[in-house]
Amino acid sequence: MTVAVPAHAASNVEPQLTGPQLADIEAQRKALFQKMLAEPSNVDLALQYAELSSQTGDLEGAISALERLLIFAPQVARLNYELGVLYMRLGAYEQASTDFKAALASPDVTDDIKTNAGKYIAIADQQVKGDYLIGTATAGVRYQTNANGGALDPFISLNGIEYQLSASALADPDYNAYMTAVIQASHDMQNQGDRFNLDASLYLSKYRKHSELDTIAGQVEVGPVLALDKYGLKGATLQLIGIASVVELSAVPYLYALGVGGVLTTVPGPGASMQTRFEYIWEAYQASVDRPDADQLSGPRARLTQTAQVQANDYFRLYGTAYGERKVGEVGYQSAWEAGISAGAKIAFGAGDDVPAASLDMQVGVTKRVYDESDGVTLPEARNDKSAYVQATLDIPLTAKTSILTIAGYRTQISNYEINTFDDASLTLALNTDF
Amino acid sequence: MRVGLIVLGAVALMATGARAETVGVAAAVNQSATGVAPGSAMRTLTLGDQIIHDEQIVTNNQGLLQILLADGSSFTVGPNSSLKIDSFVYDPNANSAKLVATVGTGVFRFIGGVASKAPGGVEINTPVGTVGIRGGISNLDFSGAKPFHIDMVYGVGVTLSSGQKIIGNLYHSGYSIVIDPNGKAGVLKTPPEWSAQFQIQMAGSNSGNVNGNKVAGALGNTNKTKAPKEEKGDGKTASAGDHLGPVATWGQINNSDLKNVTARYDGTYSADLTYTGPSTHVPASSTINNNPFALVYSFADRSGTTYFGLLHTGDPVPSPTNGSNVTLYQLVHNTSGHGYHLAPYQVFIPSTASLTSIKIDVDSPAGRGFATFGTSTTTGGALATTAEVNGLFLNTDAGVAQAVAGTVDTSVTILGNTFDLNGAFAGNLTSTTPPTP
Repeated sequence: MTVAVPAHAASNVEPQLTGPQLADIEAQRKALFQKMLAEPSNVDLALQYAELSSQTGDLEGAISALERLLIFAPQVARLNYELGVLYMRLGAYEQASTDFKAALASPDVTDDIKTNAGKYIAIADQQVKGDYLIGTATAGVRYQTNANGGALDPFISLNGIEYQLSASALADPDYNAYMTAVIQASHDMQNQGDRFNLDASLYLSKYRKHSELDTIAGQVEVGPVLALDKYGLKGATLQLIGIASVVELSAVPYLYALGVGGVLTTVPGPGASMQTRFEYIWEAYQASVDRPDADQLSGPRARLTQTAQVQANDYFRLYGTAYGERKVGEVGYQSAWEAGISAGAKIAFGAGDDVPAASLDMQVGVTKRVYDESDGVTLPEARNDKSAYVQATLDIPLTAKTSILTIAGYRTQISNYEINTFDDASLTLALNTDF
Repeated sequence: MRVGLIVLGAVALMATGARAETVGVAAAVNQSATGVAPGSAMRTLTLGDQIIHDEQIVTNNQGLLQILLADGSSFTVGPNSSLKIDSFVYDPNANSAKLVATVGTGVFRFIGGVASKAPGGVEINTPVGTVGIRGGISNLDFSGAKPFHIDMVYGVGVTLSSGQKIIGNLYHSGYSIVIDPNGKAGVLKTPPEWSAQFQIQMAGSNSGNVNGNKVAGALGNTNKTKAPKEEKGDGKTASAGDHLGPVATWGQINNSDLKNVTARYDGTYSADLTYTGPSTHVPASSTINNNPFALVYSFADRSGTTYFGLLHTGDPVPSPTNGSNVTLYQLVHNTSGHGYHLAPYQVFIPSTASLTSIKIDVDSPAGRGFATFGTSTTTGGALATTAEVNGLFLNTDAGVAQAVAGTVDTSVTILGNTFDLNGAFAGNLTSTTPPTP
């Protein structure tokens, strides 16, 4: 009894071709396979078959053909190198490293193989080692047309009575210097893909005029990442996290938060990923001289976020996010339901030999927030806000690990509570480095 | 062990549900592999031979064979291995296949074709249970050199069943099911040395049928290397620029200038040695497991005498501490002017040394080496009158083999007392430093 196999299951990775081109190459490959059975020592046939198999995404077929040649000619550097590349594409890093090392040990190794194999061995060995610490740091300067999120109109209506806002409540431009650092430490639990992760982020900003906005914020997420391959969900993981964060504004404690969450990541197909994140956080806001009512925001926040991403090819990625959130404060007018969606695209271009490709990332998003109750002052109705933003980020690499970021953005919020209606355009220039 | 080119007839493709006699083709053969089909005499398998259903395939200690099946699946059968394809059914129209095989001792690599893409498509009966492979590439090692293990190099899953019970389950690349001597199965991350060892076992020596230059040229190598010369008996020399392969054959050695060529191969060996003799200071027996050793070729020029020998580095050596001789071999140019032969060469280990390690360099043209014990260094002293280690290296026409094995049958003289040293050793070599002129 034979076992039926869906046609798409024949490839290991996404084919490099599509449509009629793919069908044509598949037909050529099948014909080549029959010739190869008749002439198994024919090097040209084997290499052609390996190349076509690689194009159709059947990397196992390519590997089988090349490893057959290895039986005859084990000392060919290029052969071992190409096998290493195929195993890297499959994610079989241990085998890839072994093949690259065999290439380096071959008597006919060329300079380009030495260079590339060396790089790949470092990547593969890092993957095999399992534990890793990675991070990124960014430092930059940002200009905002409305740094304090102030109202656009100096006159607002409070319960039908018009008031003139003080200057400090109006939109005011400002510069700020900022720095962010994000690290991830990951421990391989040696249990077929299970890991234990710690993610930490730090944000610092210093404003030229509005020192009340100077911020120090830090967040830590820690917890296991469980591989779900054992349940037939190839590449999927479930991460359980504990979350802790602290925010200071103008060197005064503003927020302490503690929570738990979970992140489910699935791989519906080659180049695609989906992530569902849920978090439940208890927030304790601190009242201060500048923010005497801040503690009214204290309470739980629950948020559900769904993200989808598709890497269409080496140069183009699409992504989108939708979220829903419930925030409960100490008072009804600080409690709200919120939902939003965003979409983006990232285009890579101009990769060099030693630097990654530059990229342009564009995002747009909209949110709606509806509060539970009126604040009893502004309007009889509860507050509701609609906001939208657009942002473009140009990333120009300087080296393999550093790049210059230029970020332009615009955000607008329209609220039935006029004091909360504002817009803000920003321009940021930053230096980013990975480590 | 003939490796020849034979044109293969077409492999019959099977209709749905029908079993056919031919299950695959010998797509690659290096050194010796034999097949015994039901009701047939044993045959030596050659390149292009059709493999028959239920044919028992056996390789010798240098044999390497790849069987290619019609659905694209392949088995690479390593040295000292046995395999039988019990059934193979492939329906190309439905793009479906099922494969059942039985393996005995040995090492194998399976690369999945259509059959492995669906659950239950591939079943391999092994000495430790039934292995199910889903969508991928797996190594199977039942050679006994290490614990039995099944490695998932890549794929969706590998299961090991004993009867109806699944005793091992892999779902992540880079992990192995390991079976202990009691038959208990566990899962661990595949040690790097297992992958390295498979790499060595699954790659053949240059057979001459498909030479490295053709492959290199077809792959677009810009720095072509001359193929090793085939063995010739006329003593004709090749050019001084010729390289030896990582495992040089005696033909290559005999037919090249060898001038200033060096190469080093590292590996591990195990040995069981027993001593008999008058002194109680000598241990009665010792077992050496996984000790590092190296084989070094160092050639001065064709007309001179040069050496290669056993370098034993690293771990402590449980050998006599009172002092003994270690016999090495030197490669001596024949007086006839052609070729080389092995001649014994001995190094005396002083009795006063604290034996924590041994390192013997044998590239001195004076015929003596340096022995290093712990932190002290001394030159070789007086030699014993008799000592010979037979079969230290497999000196076959195929070359000084990657697998090293032999017996030790010698006597050593220590401070005037003669002891007998007997035993067997086995090990494997890996080229770590390619031959350089």
